[in-house]
Order: sequence, then C-alpha cells, then structure tokens
Amino acid sequence: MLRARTARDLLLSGFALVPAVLLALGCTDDENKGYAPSNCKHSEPTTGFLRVELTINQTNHRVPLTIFEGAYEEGKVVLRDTVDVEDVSYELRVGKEYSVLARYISGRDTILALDSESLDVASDEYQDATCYYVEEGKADVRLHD
Amino acid sequence: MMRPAIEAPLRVLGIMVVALVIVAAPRPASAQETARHTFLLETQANTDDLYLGLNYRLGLALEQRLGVTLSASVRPYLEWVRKPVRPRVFMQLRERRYCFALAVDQEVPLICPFGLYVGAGLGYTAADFDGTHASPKEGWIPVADGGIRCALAVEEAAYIEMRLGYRYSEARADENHWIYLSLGVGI
Repeated sequence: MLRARTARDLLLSGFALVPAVLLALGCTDDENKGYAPSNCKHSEPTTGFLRVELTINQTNHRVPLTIFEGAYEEGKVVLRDTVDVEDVSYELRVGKEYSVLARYISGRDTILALDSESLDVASDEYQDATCYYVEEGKADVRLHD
Repeated sequence: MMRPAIEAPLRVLGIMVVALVIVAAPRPASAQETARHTFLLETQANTDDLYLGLNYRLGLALEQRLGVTLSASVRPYLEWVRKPVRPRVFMQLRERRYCFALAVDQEVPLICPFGLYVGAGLGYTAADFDGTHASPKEGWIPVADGGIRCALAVEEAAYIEMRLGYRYSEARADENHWIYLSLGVGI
C-alpha cells in the first residue's frame, strides 16, 4: 500500500505525466553496441533462473513453496520445496510463465502468497553477433501486510 | 513513501515539465475562452492508492461551457490484496486495476485565468490478479469531481490547462475520496 504520500510527491506525479509520454513516444534505439562480449551466448538458452523472495520469521522459519507452470489452478506442479532462507533461485525451462505459492501462518490465519513471473529469452544485437540471455524472473511471495 | 522504483524518475520528469512551462511563457487565457477539444494527462491519488491516466474533453456547448469527458486510467503498480478463500485462509495476490469513465462537466469562469469545474458521470473498473484465473471485484462505479481550473494561453487558439480538485470514485480502493490533478492542452 502507498502511505504517507506528500502533496509534493502527488504534484510531481502529475507533472511527470507529460514528459513521460513524450519520452515514451520519442525514444529510439539507435545505440551502437560495438562488438559482442567474450561471454556472449550465441544460441538461445533453454533454462533460466527464477528468483523467489520469501519472508522468514519466528512463526514461519520454514516455508512450504510450490511452483506451478501457468496459473496455479491448472495444477501443473513443477516443484515443491520447503525453504528456510529469504531468497532462493530455481533453474527452470524458459518461455513459460510460472506461479509461485508460499504458505504462511499468521496468528490463527493461513496466508497463501501467490505471485507469477515468466522466464523469457531476450537478445542483444552487436556488430559481429547476436547474444542471447534470459531476462531475470523474480517472484515476490513475501508477506505484505 | 512513494515506491522507490517510480519516485526518482517522476521527480526528474516533473522538473522537466516545470521547465517546459516556463520556456513556453504562457499568458492568462481570456475568461471567455474555452476549448472544443482538451487533452489532459491526469492523476488521482489518496493516502492508499494512485492512478495515472488520459482524459479527453469535448466541448459540446461552448457558450454554456458544457462538455463531456472520456478518461482512462491505470494504477501504475501492482497492489497487494488479501482475498478470503475459506474461513481463516487468505490468498495474498497482486492486483492490476484500470478505470474508465464518461462524465459531463460544467466550467464556470472566475477571475482570469482561474475558473471552477464540476462534473459527474459513470465509470467502469476492471482488474486482474497475477498467477491465478480468479477475478477481482469489477463493475460500474459512480464518478463525481470538482475543483479549480487554470488556463494559460500559449497560441491564438491553444492553451495549457490545469485542473486541481476533489474526485469521488469507487475504484475498488480502500478509500473513495481522491485528490485530482491534470495537465494538458486545449485547442
């Protein structure tokens, strides 16, 4: 939730709209990238890393985690894990959208935190080659009060 | 606190617009001036929420200063919401939300270049959640607003317009009362 926003921030938010649109319409990608770096991947990767952020606290020191392919109702479970760290990464196939579900206890309530992220391949064009990479996927299933 | 990801660029861009307005050297528009077409970039905000959008106003009866506005706005970030799924079990989800509205408004000239505006209409709010087919609350919502309008001429038949006021909108937020701010051009 956004809280304690000042009048100045609100005013600047409004004023920012005009150049934001102008910049969005006016930008062109004419950057000369030069030659490909030595770590360039010349073929499309088939897997990438999905980073998952969790909340670990006194009540939830080990958090059950499930990763689904697609929406979680579709039930295509890719992996299950129980995690005791706040930041963890899993290597998964690219070109798919994943839903991450973490289960927390909060007082007498159970909180099922859900987020989704896709792992997509992108590329950079250089003068001598095309380099492929996987855009970082980050799922945030921390507790947000 | 505004979200760090959008705070810095908004401040920089805000300064750019202020500079643009200074360079354009606008002068107060005549109290009789009103536009056939007005294009506004708008924002509405309260302590819990923020929307950014576009607004087009068509002057229907220029002498009476009546117009009809069509607006589309979006929450520029994903809001965390908790949805009950069964007793004592909640899902924490990220919600995207959009609002569309059609309204009729009336401008009232005051001391040049200031005036008042008041309007009312009907909107529709649409939304979706990340990672699930479940649907957030959507539907028709009443919209009403009013406030101060300022018009500064930059050309013979064009001026910069700014509106600052209050808006009531049941945009499925915790709070239905909003501060409204818009900036644009009338021709």
